[in-house]
Amino acid sequence: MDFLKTNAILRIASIIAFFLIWHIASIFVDIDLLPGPSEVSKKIVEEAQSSELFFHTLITLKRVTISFIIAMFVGTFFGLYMGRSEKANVVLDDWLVLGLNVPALVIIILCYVWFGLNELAAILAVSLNKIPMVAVIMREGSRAIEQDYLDVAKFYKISKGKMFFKVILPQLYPFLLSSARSGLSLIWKIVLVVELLGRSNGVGFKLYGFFQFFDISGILAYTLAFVILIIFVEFILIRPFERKISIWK
Amino acid sequence: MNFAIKIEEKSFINKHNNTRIKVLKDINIKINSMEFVCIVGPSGCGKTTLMNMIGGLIKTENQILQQNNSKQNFDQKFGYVFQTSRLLPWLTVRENVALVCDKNSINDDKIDEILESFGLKDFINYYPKSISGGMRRRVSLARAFINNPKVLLMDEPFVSLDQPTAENLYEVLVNYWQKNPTTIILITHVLKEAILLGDRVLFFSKNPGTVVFDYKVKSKRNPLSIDNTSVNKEYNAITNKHPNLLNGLL
Repeated sequence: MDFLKTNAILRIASIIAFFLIWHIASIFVDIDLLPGPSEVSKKIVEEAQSSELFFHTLITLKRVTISFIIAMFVGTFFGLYMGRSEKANVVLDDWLVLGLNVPALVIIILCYVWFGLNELAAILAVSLNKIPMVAVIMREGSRAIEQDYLDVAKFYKISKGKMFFKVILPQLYPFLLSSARSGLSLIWKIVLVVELLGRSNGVGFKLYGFFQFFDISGILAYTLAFVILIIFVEFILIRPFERKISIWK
Repeated sequence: MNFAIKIEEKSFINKHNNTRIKVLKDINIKINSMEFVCIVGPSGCGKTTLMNMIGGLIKTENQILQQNNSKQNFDQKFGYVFQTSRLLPWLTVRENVALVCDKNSINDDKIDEILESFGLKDFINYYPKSISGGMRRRVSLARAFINNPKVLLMDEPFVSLDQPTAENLYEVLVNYWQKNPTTIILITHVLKEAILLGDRVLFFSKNPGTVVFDYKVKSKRNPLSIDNTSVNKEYNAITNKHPNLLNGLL
């Protein structure tokens, strides 16, 4: 209990230190270049009052969620397939290397050129950027599945459902969590670029507008709001889930 | 139910140099119903391979088990106690046993009953990591017995346990087996353990493994201790007469 208390205090102290450093830095730097936390907070309130902040943040969140789900499903499928089948791995490995190394911007531009400046192209571009990374992590996950446990399941002829949910999936949880975490952080960054380049709404679109008018407080206000939202997702969804599945450890 | 295990030859391809390694040859063992058979032999002589072939974990081209001299479908219920407990660490003791249950014939009460018989009543909601090695072996035994197997395969189930813990497990196993009789095939490196627990001891040769000596045990499992006088006498008699038997030579 004391340990948890100490951790919480350290965490709060670290956040306070961040804002303090930011505040001090803003005193010494031109306010237009680096507005302090109070100016940025005022901007957040202002944007929230006009509902602009909620509207654009929710649009971006929707894109992040859809792309995230698609990338996780497709990446997990291919990763598991490649991990369990040597032939599939040989056939798809070079595709994976290609997918990992094509710059995100190239995929975004190509999707917009090929499919037009629409929602489908935006979601596709984000998902395609993330799928190879999920596949790589899940390939390692499927290779790490213990043959001993599979032998137990095979010997006792347990059903396919039980085999997947009770024997295989628990061994994949750490890899799923790892790809989910890295996925969330990467996807929302790519979504902003996608919105900046070819959408007429979303946080990326707003940031482009602020950039045009050199409005740094607007840029920081939207960034801060979205980062807080992602941290919220981490603490409300991912961490409790992680605690639940690692209780046996 | 009596049955026979017949294997002409079992070999594997060594992937490194593409050569064929013979593991087993000329196996012809007849096992009587409810018999407790122990297999002893040098490391690498194919004991575990044989066990995995019987249990269906290693595919065989020809059926190796025969019932009443017929090669018809050998649809027997097996239980397997592996060399390590192989409990799924993310499942509780109870969930580990329930996982392998044949839901058509086993209900929740039966699971609780068997866990109680193996002295695990107070640990049903514990995870394997939070119980001792001896307790984990008990869970593994309970899991192997839960479906009322007709043949129970045990691959060195007491290896790396200290003597008191191992003897405690002998007691648990033999008590449960006497109340719920089944055919048991047990692999061990400890000859005294084989004499103490088994009705018969099959001695295997070096690779490729085959039965070089089929010994009928006289001791009566009383007391269930490695230091049992009659077990020691039999042990001395066997090792004096065949000093290289444990190395696979008669």
